[in-house]
Amino acid sequence: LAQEIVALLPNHGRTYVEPFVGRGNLFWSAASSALKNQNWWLNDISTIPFFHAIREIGDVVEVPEHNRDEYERQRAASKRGDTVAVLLEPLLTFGGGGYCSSGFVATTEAAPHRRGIRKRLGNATGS
Amino acid sequence: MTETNPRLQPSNRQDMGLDKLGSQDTVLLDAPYPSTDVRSYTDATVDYDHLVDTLLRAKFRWLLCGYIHPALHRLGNPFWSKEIRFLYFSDREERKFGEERRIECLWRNYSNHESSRHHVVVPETLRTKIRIQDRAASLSFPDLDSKIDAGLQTVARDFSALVPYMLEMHRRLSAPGKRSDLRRGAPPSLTCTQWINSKRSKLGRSLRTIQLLLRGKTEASRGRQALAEARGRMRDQSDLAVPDGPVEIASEMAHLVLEMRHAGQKSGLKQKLELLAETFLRVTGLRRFEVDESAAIQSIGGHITNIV
Repeated sequence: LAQEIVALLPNHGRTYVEPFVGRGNLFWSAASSALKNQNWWLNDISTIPFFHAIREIGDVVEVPEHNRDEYERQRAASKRGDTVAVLLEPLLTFGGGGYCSSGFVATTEAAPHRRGIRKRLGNATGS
Repeated sequence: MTETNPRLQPSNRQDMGLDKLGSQDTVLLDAPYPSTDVRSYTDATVDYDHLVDTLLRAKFRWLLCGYIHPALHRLGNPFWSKEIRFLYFSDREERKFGEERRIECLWRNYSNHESSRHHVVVPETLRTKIRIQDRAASLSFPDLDSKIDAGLQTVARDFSALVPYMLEMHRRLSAPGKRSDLRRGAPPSLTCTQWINSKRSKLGRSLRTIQLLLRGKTEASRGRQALAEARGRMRDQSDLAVPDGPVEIASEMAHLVLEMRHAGQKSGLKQKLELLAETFLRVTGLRRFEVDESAAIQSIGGHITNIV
């Protein structure tokens, strides 16, 4: 759906703005499409640290063993501003909702999210 | 990310300064949709009226994702739509997802030739929905109020028509052990309460409201009501003084049992005995905890009447 929506955007322009970027579902599609924009501007009241983490770490992140202890450790690290913990947030939490909102998710449910995010990160960073 | 090198900003939309953008800028808005529960925002944190105001006077190009909803009515008809499966948190505490089919819609303020695709897809079902919403939006307050009143009457009338079926279902699921024929086809352990709860979202009424609707109509309910009325009458009778102490009550009960041996069960002594037994258990604190539907209704009857 994201690709279909992005295809309906103007082909070129000065600034591309997303006021509610979330985890970037539309942005990743737009960034990897043929859209030509001079500037890109992403905004979100709660998920911007996720993009800072990608910018800092890149598209390679070691995914730790998925269990409650590791989740609690990453959650605490995230509160301290640890970028790896921030980047792992959608992988470790239920529905990608975040440490503070949705909480721990069982391993079997985490696997599809993990694959999805990995692929997404790969696309976005052009690796 | 490296190629686009975006500017990253954690602001409320209102504080972003979108008004400074011009005709060569494009704003893609995928806001949390009205009446949904998503994580980063809830619809309570997005001021849709303000958002629509901003879009209607915008100098920049914008594309908004959403659903047909009164909050977005002022934007007019969407130019594009597609049916999708929508995932949402059905139970935040239990962390459960729900899924339903919705029609994703797009609105924009620029022309087709600026994008690579030019088709417009708005199915008939969506057009009907838009027409109904347009009609609702055009009504004055009194007309809208009357329209809703009429609709509520229809719902009430329809629900009355449902009561006989509800009673039949109650009879089947509440049938005593000997009448297993009545339960044929029903899940073995399903109770009437569970069944009502399973239909709650469709019925649009709570368990207690359903119980109230059926009050006095089911056999068990009639029996309980008759007993309650008899008790009420007995309390008014001066010839039955219920003693205060447990020993005195037990003694009175023993006399009644012996009296019943001679007088038979139709003498009204049984009801006196029941009243004494209840009082005895209450006084001694030995009454077992039980969930009695009618008792629950009776205890909050006045409150429920207001709700209904």
